[in-house]
Amino acid sequence: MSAEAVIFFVFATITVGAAAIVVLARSLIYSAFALLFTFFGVAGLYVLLGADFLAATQLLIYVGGILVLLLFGVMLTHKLYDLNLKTEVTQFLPAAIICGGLFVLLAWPIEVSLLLPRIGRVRILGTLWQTSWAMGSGRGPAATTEEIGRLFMGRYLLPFEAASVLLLVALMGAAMIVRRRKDA
Amino acid sequence: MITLPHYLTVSAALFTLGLLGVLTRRNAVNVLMGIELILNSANLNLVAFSRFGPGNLQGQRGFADAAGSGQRNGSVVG
Repeated sequence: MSAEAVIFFVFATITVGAAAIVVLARSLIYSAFALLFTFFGVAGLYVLLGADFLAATQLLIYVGGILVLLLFGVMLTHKLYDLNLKTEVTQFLPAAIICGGLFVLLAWPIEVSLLLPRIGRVRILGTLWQTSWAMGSGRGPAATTEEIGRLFMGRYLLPFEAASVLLLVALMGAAMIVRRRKDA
Repeated sequence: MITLPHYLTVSAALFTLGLLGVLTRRNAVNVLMGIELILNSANLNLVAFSRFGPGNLQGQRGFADAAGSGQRNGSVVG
């Protein structure tokens, strides 16, 4: 195995394992800290994919912003709103069956010959591995920041502005929700 | 050799785990964490396609949309 493969599998294991802890942990705090490791793993995968700017952004926005906000929200408000830190799980078995089935459908190729010998070796499911993707030449490792900036300020200016307006609306909505009502 | 389906598989695992979190948890904060996982898987898909696909950097700017919606989630929680 090459060094790239080893690093990939390390980061993939960190990401998926921590994501499993996020979903399965009993305590909200454990979930939040496992989410930290998931974000770090995804940032490592970005570095492997040659997206240096996005890896830094992932750390800044997700770890520095969203996760800290989540932790503050959990730790500061659980007494105010009597939020139970031991979270409940409902309908775990059907949801697990659905999600497991979805994952098999997407990414787990199965040889039919194991089940029905007459057909021969046919691989079903695992759509990601069956599809012949349109592979390009691929980019080598190069600085991406300048090109991302050009795309944002040029071709994708309208989505960029729409996203910023949407952020403003969300901010105002959050301020409206948490504002203390005088008349009530 | 690590190719596109490897990354897509990791992304699919992240997505299904996030979906599991959204479906099974009753607490709103946990549901938001599941949504964050789903958004991250979408980001990973976009970046992987921009690395291996025929296009250029078109995928990497899609990150900003998903990151922005994640930020909106976070601000609603806060």
